Amino acid sequence: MLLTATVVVDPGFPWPALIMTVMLGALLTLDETAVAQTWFSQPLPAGILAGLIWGDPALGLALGLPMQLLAVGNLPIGQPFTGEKVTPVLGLIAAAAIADWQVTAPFTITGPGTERLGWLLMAAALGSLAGDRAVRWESRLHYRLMLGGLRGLQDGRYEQLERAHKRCLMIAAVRGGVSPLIWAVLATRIWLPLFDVLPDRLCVAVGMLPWLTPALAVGTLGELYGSRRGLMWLGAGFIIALAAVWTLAGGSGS
Amino acid sequence: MTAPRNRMSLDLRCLWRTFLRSLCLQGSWNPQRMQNLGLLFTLLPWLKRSGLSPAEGRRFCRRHYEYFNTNPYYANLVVGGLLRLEEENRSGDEDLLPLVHGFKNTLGRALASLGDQFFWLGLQPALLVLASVTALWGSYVIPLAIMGAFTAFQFVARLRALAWGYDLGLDIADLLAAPGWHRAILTAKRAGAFLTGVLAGLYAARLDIVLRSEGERRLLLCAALALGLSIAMRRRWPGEVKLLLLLPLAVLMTYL
Repeated sequence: MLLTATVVVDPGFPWPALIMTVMLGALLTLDETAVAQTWFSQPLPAGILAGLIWGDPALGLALGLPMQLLAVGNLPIGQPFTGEKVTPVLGLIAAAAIADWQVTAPFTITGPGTERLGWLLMAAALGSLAGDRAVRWESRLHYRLMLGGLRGLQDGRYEQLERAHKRCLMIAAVRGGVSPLIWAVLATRIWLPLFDVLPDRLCVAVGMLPWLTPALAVGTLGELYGSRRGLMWLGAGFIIALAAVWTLAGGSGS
Repeated sequence: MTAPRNRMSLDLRCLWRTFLRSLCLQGSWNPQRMQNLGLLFTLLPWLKRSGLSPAEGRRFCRRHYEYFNTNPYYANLVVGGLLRLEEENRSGDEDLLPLVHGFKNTLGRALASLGDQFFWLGLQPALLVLASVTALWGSYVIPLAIMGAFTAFQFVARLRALAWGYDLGLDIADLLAAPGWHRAILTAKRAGAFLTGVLAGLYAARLDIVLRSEGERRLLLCAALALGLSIAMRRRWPGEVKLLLLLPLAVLMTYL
């Protein structure tokens, strides 16, 4: 209903882009764990692809990059991936494109464009944490379907096993298709309008958030590569990058 | 040990179908038995053309319906090896079935550990940081190209792993002792550490620019706090939680 209300208002609503976003959501959700794991489902490429669909790859990159930096230390070692980043990123990019929200490229300047990006980033982070519960619920459902397949085996029907596996894939695809729509509707109806009533101080603070994601990523990865040799390589990268930037900028840092 | 090193009767069509199905090994991942249904789904093309009697087929399914977990990128070594074992068992005089359980679990665990080290702790952070560094310069083509290259690499590697696993059978275990695994892991981790340093350097340069042009000292303080928080919390908490925890700190900074 909410979706209908959002859409009916504008006869020029970009239906093809929305349908492609739904399809991209389904494909990338499958890619995340269930099928192939190509890493196109990581927030940065997913954001760029969604941005391309909406004709604004810079918008996709603007949200995808800080989300990627948040996700870079999220590794499935001894546990599944935490959070569900793809569909909130896709839904929020769709919402921002529909509402014609202008955001600035991350880590360039501070100001209103960065504050809007920070507000989107907060929504993506909250959406990712909420989506994590859906993913866990889905794995429990897989278990029940798997047991169903086992019962089919007792009756001598192999096709029941195939069906159980295909159903699991279908559930992931449906979740991936529906979730971006939900995030897009929630964002256009609630989250984006809320930005206009934010207190000034909160706005400024929200604008700092995208700027903090590289620090979070470096901290997480620094801990990951924390051996003496690892820190040596990290230090070498740091010095070379700084030297290259200052050489290119003529030593002025401008 | 499996004596002959030739392909037995795994025809190209069966190989291809098994490969395609192996891509969705984790499609029915569940916390109790993990990839068990995915493994069986992958092995079904072979079962269908194996000519096993319904009772043998059921026993086959039960064998592979137990707990199974490994790294998805290396899984085809196990899949290929299992097909070889099953095929030899069907056609040979020796009963290899008692070996299946141990082979699957031991190799699965060993490859899971190698996969964790190479893919999750080495290659993935390295490639994602590389993609992020290029995106920091505004490029959206290069990050996509990096992911495309990785996709092509892993598809070829998975297809070869299936054929390799099938060729080697039980001898895959010898493969694990090769020094190449550890060299690859070390190289990927060093690349990841170096690229993290590059990211840190570029970030410091960007902060310096904002500091000079806008005098944003609060941002510098916040970044230092974020770095400290991230190191202190290690990887116990997801990045989203750390970011949301930083919001109250950022609000406090606005009073400075």
